[in-house]
Amino acid sequence: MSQLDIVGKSFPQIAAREKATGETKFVTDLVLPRMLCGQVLRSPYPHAKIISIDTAKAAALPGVKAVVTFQDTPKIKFGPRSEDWTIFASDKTRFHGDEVAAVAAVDADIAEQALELIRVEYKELPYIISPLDAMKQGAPLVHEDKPGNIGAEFKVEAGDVDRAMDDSYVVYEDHFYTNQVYQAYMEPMSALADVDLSGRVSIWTGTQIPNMMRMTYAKALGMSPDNLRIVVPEYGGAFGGKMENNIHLIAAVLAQKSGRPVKLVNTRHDDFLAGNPRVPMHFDIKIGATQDGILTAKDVKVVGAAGARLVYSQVIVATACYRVDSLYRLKNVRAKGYTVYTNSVPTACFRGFGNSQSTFVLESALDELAIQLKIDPAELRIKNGMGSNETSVHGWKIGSSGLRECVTKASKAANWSQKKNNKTPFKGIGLACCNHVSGNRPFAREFDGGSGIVRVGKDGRITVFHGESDMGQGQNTTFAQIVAERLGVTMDMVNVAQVDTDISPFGLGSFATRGTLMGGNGVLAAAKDAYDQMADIAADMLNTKAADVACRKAMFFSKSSSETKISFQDIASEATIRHHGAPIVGTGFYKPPTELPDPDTKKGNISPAYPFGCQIAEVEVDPDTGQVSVTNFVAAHDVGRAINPMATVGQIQGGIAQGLGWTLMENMAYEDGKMINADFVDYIVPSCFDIPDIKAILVEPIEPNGPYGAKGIGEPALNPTMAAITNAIYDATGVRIKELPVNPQKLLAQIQKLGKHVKE
Amino acid sequence: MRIRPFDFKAAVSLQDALIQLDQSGPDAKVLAGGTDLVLNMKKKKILPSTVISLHSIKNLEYVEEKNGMIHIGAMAKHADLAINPILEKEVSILCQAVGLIGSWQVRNIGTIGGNLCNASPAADSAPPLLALDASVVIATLKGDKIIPITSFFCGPAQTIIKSNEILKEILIKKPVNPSAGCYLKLRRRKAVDISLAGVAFQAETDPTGKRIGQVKIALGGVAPTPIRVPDAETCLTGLCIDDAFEKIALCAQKAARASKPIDDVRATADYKSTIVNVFVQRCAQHVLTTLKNQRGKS
Ligand SMILES: Cc1cc2nc3c(=O)[nH]c(=O)nc-3n(C[C@H](O)[C@H](O)[C@H](O)COP(=O)(O)OP(=O)(O)OC[C@H]3O[C@@H](n4cnc5c(N)ncnc54)[C@H](O)[C@@H]3O)c2cc1C
Repeated sequence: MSQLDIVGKSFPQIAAREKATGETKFVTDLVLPRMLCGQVLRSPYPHAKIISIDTAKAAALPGVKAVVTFQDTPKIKFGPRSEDWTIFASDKTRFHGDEVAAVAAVDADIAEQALELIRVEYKELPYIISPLDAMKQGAPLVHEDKPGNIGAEFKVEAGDVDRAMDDSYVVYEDHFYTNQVYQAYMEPMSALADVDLSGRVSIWTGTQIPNMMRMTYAKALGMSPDNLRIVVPEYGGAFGGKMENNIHLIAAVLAQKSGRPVKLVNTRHDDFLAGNPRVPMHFDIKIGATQDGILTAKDVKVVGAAGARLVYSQVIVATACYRVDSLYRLKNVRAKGYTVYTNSVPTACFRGFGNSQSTFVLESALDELAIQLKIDPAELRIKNGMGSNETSVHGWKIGSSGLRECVTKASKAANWSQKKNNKTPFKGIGLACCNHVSGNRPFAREFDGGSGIVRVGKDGRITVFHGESDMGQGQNTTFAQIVAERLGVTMDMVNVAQVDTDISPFGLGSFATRGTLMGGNGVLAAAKDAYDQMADIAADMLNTKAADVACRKAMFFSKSSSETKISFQDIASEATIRHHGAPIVGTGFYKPPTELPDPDTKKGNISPAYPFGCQIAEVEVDPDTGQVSVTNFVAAHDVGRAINPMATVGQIQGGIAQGLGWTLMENMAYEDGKMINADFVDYIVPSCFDIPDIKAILVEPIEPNGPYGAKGIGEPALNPTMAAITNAIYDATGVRIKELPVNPQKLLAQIQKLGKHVKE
Repeated sequence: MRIRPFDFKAAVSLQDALIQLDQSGPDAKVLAGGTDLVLNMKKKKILPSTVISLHSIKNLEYVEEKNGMIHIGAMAKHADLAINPILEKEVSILCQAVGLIGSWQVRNIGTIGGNLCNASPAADSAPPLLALDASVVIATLKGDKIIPITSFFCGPAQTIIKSNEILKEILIKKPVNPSAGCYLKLRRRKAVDISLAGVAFQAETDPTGKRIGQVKIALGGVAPTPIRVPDAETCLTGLCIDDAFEKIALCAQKAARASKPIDDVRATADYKSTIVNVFVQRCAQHVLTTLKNQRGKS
């Protein structure tokens, strides 16, 4: 590849200045004339029959413009993956926070008062929160038509697991639990909805999947998709949480009923109660190895709690069953997954998408195997790790893998061998690896690639249209870099349009660590198309052939005689003149070399590229309190090529911070079926003092399928963090953490038990 | 979560505040930093008809030393108290404690008066003030009254202050003999967390500097109000410093036994008691060592 001017260089995010100075208009900041304030009345019980709802008093309150319940909706069952949702609870509420009614009023005070005037008569029903309880015979049913509360089952098997287990030198078997955690994005879920005279609905909202959301919502609202428009302004984070959610639809229903724009912004409390947090999972794992540490077989059972609706939890449980199998050269694997309805908030996507849960489990189990076999845990990973040009047990074609390089580089930077061998009481070091995807073929079944539009105006100004979603991770900057590089212009000439389903390509969105690779390849193809059109004109003006033309730093020139140069702007102007005003519009798409997995065997190459990583954590455990401090972190990640190294390192730091919070403090706690810490006073996320120095190492094996060789980083940044920390806790104390988050009291009790044991 | 409408008044003097408070009825509230009050109003835990700001009253933020007494104005901010030279020199335990409150933003606006009057069992300024045997001066329309801080707290969010009275200042007797103190707070993260259990340990030697003249231990977050633990204190009082080290374990046990924590989402009662035990030991170790070293130096 020729020399790169822009790709591979660090750029601050193109919206950084506006964000830092408070100029950015987030969804919460949007205002339309005559806009109303919407608020939602939520179920105070985890499970209750609705006997009656009386909205008369609320509707009569001056300033209230609409009060809506299930009766005001099209009463259509819908859902992104399984149709078990309705807009508002109909006959019964299924979780504490379930939507019961909503109001739109001229201001927030009146809306809040109106909610208090709605009288709902409930009859409380028995409820279940634990998915293991929910599977038991006689458990209350969350949905009457779902016996045993089973929402979905998943099965995968390859090789001969039983035989391989029998032949193994060691087998480790245990139970693990990963808890329910909240994405804690800065901006709570919010939506602004407006209806025009023809009845066409526009929704401005922070969403990772504008186009897919539109299809789901069109169904829910009983309208054809072309009557619904989704616009994605700047929004404050998502981490997987901002996909479909009833609050967007409620805003639309309120706007329909009131005939005025309605903005609905979750309070933080409501966002905890009715967002879409991480799927909690129970794991039974059994894993075997030979005497020299070659992994022989893996067998898992996963039970995940869906909450009251399947959002994406069944796909997440499936992912937890088998994605991690392609981290190592496993040949014999078996998994069974159950996605179980419970009376808690519907759970869904959160950075890692099930793979973070199973990575915690697998990497803890590998630590145990390493101990039993007396093999260095780093060595064990290197022995088994997937390499470039290998195919995994599930048919995943690993084009490039920097896994081994990640382990070596992280070990070296962390001084692993020395620290691992020199023991200091209650100080420990731990290591964990991860794999992931860059796109996931089966997620949206119609296609999985990316596309873009690149418009060049008469003035030479470039606008990139994509259908993915920048939630703050810096995707727009990455796309601008790719386009600027391909066109041969400078960054300040490139503008990235906000996603608007009326204008933008039908992008699938930002999930599955797919944005950089899929969206990046999409805008790259569009940039190439625009470039080719301009190169034709440039060739004509430079009296040469298009193949002889190049553009760098916004100047076109002939490669054979570089004396004459014509500016990019001049070519753009000439193009528009020649085309009677039509701008240059480049379009393009990327079709990845992936395949839908076989429905039975689940075999099939689901992603064009697979990122890998290795993280090493150091901890200090207070032997008297059981409290854990993470004192150092090294993270080496195979990112293909880092288009924007600064943003890539930022993702790694953020992933570790989020993973550290999950490991040591974050937990959505329930009592009597209700969440009891639905605020940041008692839902604790790490402060900057809790985050140690993080040394991020970028391992860059140029990925053949990536735009300029790039893979993704969003999710792998977090996947190994939990096990890296808990393996370090083991190293420090001899206590194996099998349940997240680490509970200081329990850790203390185990330390004391071990201490006594040693003394005896 | 919106604040319901209310009347806002800015008092220009303490007397003015007292009059307005008296006239506004029993549900009126005074506003100091607002870091508790405003949140409680948002959550509708309280719905005051009138809020009277103390911000325009001049000179309620002082720290002064007069005749062996340290006077702290009720409106003094945590951020200032944490680095106040008088306090650092004489009663550094208070600086340690208020320096651990919330975040910079909260410490820059939150006041010691607000922290006490809000009367959270976990308020961080309370245990050190209890361990310093502080008093509070309460301004009333009939004049000031001085009350020992030990009788100030009545229960969670309840103090002895009547609805028409205002906390004016805090009085601490300056230690006359060598002294040292230590405050430790159990948190779920390293900054910005409510105290799950707080231990304040303050000791002063006798005039010879060899014996422990007095020990005061106070606990926060483990009873309906911040409490002193006299049984634990007597374990060490009167002992030679060198001998006292041996009694630390007993002292800590007694303190833990005197605590009455509850199970909540933050931690279990058992764990909080365990931590009281550990922290009393750590505080005692630190304070006794400091006193021993001080004697070594003099
Ligand atoms: C993010 C955050 C973190 C926090 N962390 C901590 C922490 O770590 N430790 C801790 O102890 N607290 C913490 N707090 C609570 C709070 O900041 C403190 O209690 C603070 O000291 C309250 O002081 P204020 O001046 O803001 O009081 P205000 O909110 O103004 O008042 C509190 C109450 O006291 C009354 N009041 C105030 N002054 C007087 C007076 N002079 N006379 C009579 N009544 C009065 C008010 O009417 C009100 O009822 C935290 C709060 C927040 C928001």
